[in-house]
Amino acid sequence: MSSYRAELHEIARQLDLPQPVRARVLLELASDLAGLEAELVSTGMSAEEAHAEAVRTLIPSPESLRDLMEVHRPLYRRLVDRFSDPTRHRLERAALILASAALFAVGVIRLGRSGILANPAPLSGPLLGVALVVVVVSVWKTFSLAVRREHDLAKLRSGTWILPGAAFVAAVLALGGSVLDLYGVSGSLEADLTRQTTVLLAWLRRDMGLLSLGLLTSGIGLGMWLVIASGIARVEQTEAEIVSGFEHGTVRVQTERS
Amino acid sequence: MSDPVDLQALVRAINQALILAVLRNGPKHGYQIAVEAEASSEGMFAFQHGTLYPILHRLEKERLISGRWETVDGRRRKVYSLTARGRERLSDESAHIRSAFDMLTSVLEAGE
Repeated sequence: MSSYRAELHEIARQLDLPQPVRARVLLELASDLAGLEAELVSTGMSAEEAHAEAVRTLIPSPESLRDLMEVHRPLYRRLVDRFSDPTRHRLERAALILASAALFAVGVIRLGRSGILANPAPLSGPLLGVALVVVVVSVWKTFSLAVRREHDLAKLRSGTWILPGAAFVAAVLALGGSVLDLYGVSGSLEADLTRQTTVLLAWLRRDMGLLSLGLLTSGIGLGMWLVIASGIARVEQTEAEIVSGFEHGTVRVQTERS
Repeated sequence: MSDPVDLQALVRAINQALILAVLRNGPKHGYQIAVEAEASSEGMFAFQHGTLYPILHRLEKERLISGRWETVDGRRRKVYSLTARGRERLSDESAHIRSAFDMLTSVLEAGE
């Protein structure tokens, strides 16, 4: 069987569809090309003629590709396609900022109600900043993967390192803040030992809040990073298997029943 | 008076009916559908330049046909089958297309 690598690579380049639909379309096309060529050769056609006939029959023209992309266009893209690219980008950015701000505000309000912010431990401010970064990056990446269903690997990968980095920084800030606070507490106790109960209770309340916020931010950062990284890995694996199928002229990718 | 016929919609209906009719004879791969549609219409209807795929995928989305993957000689291929809903649609589309062509024939032959 001859290779359709060049044709399939060209189609893959033009096919702007989310995974795994994109992979399924390419797999179907690759297997049909091979099947049709084999059938034509079995009827006595030369391999070259069979190859050309298979390409003529099955390789989608730009118009067919457009129709195909229209059939599979995700709901989100159908909704936003009426806007020009710059307008869509502006709208997306505004929506992401609003969603992140709303999530962050809910978190801060809950913290405020628990009294943690009334008497914050050292480094609480920077820790809240890191929490905001985790929220923004999580919302942004979840949107790219699950709503926009981006399949551009470079775009998907960019910025994901921020999540484990922020998780680490949050843990360091929480621990560092607690240690700093301990020094403060020991200083207060040295100055006036009669207030030990008040000082210790206030310290416990402050540092419980700080450590909880640090653990929560670290946990969410790491958890979101795992979810997003596994989503990206699935896209990468599918792309690699398709390319490997093209290289060997066969396609052996496990694809779920569609 | 009959409803006006949208020619583009008629062409789309013909293509869809052709695929549904080919699948009435049993499950087939995409390329087999293209080959059989051309052969059974003696070359009059041919799916070229990948026009088959948007139609197949639209029919699958509308659940008029169903697609499943099978492995033959270590190679995975997608096989399509006609669903009960597709069978009903084929019957409706056949009647619709026939009436459109009857009307066209009567117009063409009116002056003879």
